[in-house]
Amino acid sequence: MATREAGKKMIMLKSPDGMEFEVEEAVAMESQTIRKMIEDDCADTAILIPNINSKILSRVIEYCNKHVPTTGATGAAASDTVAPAALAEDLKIWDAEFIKVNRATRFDLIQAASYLNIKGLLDLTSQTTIDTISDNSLEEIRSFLSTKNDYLPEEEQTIRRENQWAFQ
Amino acid sequence: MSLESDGAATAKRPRLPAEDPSIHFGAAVEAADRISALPEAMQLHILSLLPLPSAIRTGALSRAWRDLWKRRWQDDGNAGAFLHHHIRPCSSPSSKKLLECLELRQSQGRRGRLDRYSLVADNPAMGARQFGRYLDAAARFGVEDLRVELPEKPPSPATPTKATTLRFPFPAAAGPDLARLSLRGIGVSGLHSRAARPCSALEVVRLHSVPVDDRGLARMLALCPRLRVLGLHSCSALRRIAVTAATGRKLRSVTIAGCGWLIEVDVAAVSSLRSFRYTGGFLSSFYLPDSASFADLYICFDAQRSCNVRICQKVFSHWFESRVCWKLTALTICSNVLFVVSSLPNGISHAESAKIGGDFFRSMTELQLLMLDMKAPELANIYVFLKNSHCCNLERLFVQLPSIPSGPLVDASDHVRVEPPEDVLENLKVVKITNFNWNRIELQLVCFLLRKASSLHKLLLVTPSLVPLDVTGIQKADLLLVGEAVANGKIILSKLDDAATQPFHSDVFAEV
Repeated sequence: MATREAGKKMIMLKSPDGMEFEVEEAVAMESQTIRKMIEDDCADTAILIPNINSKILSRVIEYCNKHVPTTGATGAAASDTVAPAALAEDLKIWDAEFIKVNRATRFDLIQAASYLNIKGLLDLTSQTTIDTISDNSLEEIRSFLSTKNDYLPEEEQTIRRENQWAFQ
Repeated sequence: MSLESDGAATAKRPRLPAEDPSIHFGAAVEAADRISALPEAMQLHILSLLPLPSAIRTGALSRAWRDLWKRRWQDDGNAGAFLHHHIRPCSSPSSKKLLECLELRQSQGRRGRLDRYSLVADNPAMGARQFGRYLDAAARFGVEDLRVELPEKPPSPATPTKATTLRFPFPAAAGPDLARLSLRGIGVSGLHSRAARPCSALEVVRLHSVPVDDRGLARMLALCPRLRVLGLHSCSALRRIAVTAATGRKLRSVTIAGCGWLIEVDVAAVSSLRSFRYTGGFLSSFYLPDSASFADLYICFDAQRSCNVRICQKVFSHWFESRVCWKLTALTICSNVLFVVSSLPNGISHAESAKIGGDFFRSMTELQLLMLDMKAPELANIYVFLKNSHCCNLERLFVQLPSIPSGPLVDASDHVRVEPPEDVLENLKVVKITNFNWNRIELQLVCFLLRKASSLHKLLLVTPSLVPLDVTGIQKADLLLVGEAVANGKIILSKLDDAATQPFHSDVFAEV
């Protein structure tokens, strides 16, 4: 059990590639999945997060650190003096920066957010996907999602014809 | 320590999705598609957030996507899985464009995919004609599940808003396949038209803030011969609801909430009724069918009006004389009803009360009590109710105490004159008491449960204070008993409500 500061319980998160991240319990509990494990007493010292590599995990922790209600050490000094509206605006800008990553990372983040059940991160990451799907052509969407087109050409034609109005 | 290496901890850990080693989140793409690797609920979530044309286009991406698109319409329990048009003044795509999409599809003579359609007309500039075109399109598409909502506008008497002129033409706008209709904040027109034909497929009607009057509702019911579920919420033009045997032949569930001017509910003729939920003001006449066997009942009169006790007694004496409740599994009643029901056995003969002992509430496994007040008489009523109802199979008990604590207990009335019942709670396993305020009567209830419910393993107290506030007048033995139960984990104190332990009736009014 690692206790860095008095009154702050620390949790060790381990990625499958062997990296360890020490985070405040409150930060880790932004994830409902981890919260449940902590509350069920299944996680007294370290939690192995299967399937999420250290690169993604560190980004997720970065997100949680930023979004944890600001009573923790991080950013407390600043947020005490800033109005809540300005703080929300600041978070928005931060989120927009945060999500400027390549596609592969973005999907890894969706999956991680979905697995760890972090609602804010899930909304943030899936919204960019939704924007992509609604703004691009089929071919672009396929390449973005790495979808393999398993239709026969005539099948795809039929589907397009059936829903012609949506393809205009 | 890693959970993976510790067998005990791994076993205890809740099962998590995606532990399949073949799916490695950080790795290169292995699944057929990036989205296919997500849980299906997540995939459907993304699909439901897409604008309609984009969502339809995804069907052409690949077979997996097409299947996903099909599944979107299958599960009608999934609230996120339906087509939703929220028409705002400056939305994209514009309402005109959306309408064109709908009508174009229609002109191609195809239907089917648009099973569920939800229309929120949040645009004051939307005219009746355009609105009608939406409804026509939906009807001709063979929509099965239709929801139409006009958002509530703050009342401005000087300038009547245009939204008030929009009406839902019923049954004209109900398509031949319409099975579920949900209207909110919109009036109904055309009910009394001669051309009105019955909606032969309509099974569920939910009206929220719909200004329909008694006659209108009766007519509406008459036009729905196959109606199974009726929900009425905040329909303040209603005064009397009477369902005749002819119109309510198939009716199984009736939910009425917050209809402020309602004074009479008569569903006595509806013997098919299995579920009845009422919350709102006191009803001066209220008839439930004698011959129905209810599976769940919820009755809450929010106002305290003891002058109506006699009427209430007349209503509920049926409960004891007939077998209305012998199949009941979940019951919610407020303390006003509890009061009446508890006082009933005094009024009926001994032979009858002996008869009660056999069948009454035999199937009931869950009881929820909504206490508008919690003093000695209320606790006595709980005792009497538990004793007389012989709910020996009761497993879950929920007690919602008043959120504003009742005033200080007065000496004259704070003595519980009824002995706690014996041997009626053998099967009680879980109890949750909300708004627990540590007053003496509330603690007495807790102690009673601790002593008499032999199988009890969880007693949740949702309380603003995790430590006893004021314990004057409490017996020392009681305090010790509670202290011990807290220590051994039988009593769980919490400031927040536990989402995992919720009564059967927790959100029945939310869906109307």
